[in-house]
Amino acid sequence: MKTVKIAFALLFVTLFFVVANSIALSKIVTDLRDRVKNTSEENTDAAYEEYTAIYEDYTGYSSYISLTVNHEDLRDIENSFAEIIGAARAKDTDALLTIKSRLISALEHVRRLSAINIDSIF
Amino acid sequence: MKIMGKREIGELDIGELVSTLLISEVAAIPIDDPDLPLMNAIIPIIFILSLEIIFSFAKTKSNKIKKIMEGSPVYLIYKGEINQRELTDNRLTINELLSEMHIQGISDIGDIEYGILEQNGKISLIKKSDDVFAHALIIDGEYNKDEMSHMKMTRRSTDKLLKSAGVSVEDVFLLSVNDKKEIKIIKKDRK
Repeated sequence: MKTVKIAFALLFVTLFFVVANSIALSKIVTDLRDRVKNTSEENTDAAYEEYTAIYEDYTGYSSYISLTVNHEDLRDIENSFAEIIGAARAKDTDALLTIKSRLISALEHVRRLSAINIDSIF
Repeated sequence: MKIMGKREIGELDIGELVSTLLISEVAAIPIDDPDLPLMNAIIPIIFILSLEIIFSFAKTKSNKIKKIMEGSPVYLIYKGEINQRELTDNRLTINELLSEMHIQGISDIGDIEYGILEQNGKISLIKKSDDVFAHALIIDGEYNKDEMSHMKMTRRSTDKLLKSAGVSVEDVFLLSVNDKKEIKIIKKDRK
């Protein structure tokens, strides 16, 4: 009976963790994605500051994110951040636009897979 | 494996066997692909383990659930008669039955009174010369309809037996009747 109670407890804790993690992760990544989307490329200096700040925030969450997200996806995001910061510093607006859409796509991919939906289940 | 219970590999039922295989497959995933986080294995393992323990517990509480998950024992030979339909339904050939017979040291199929395909896939053979075979009509407070129909007993006739023994069906842990119509009743322990 004790084992069954432990099993029920483990099941609920696991389910709770999965749902809570999904919600938290989704929120974090959505916030990062939106900030990237809203950053303008017109002023490359401001863009550089903003992308650097977003990257620092991402780094703060990266240990938590890496618990449940595929490391290959995280590498894509980090590479995109490195490139976009470099492009902003180099004042390359065209490259900024290209890399920005890639970064948004990478963040959106993680957001979609961290949510509880058909994509993440299958 | 230790948390799931003390069983030897050969005694694992279908659910436990599937769980064991699943857990080992899932545990291998992050080992094969270092890019996958460990949580991708830990969470499913905990999930499978918990469900296995819960379903095992549910099986002890409900014969219906047990029957759905494990099936019921099947009489391949009943009172010396081979049930060919059951052999076919269970994809067994007479050769396999004879082989099992020889393994159990029986040389003549005519010596067998009962041949039972158990839930774990093993075949039990009861010889005519053995002690009489007992049929469990009530298990853990629930009527065993399959055995009742084999013994040509109805619920009413079973209830009569209980009444004569002064017990109700809910109080019975095991009620068995053998071919000599001798009855054995084991009551549930009082909690």
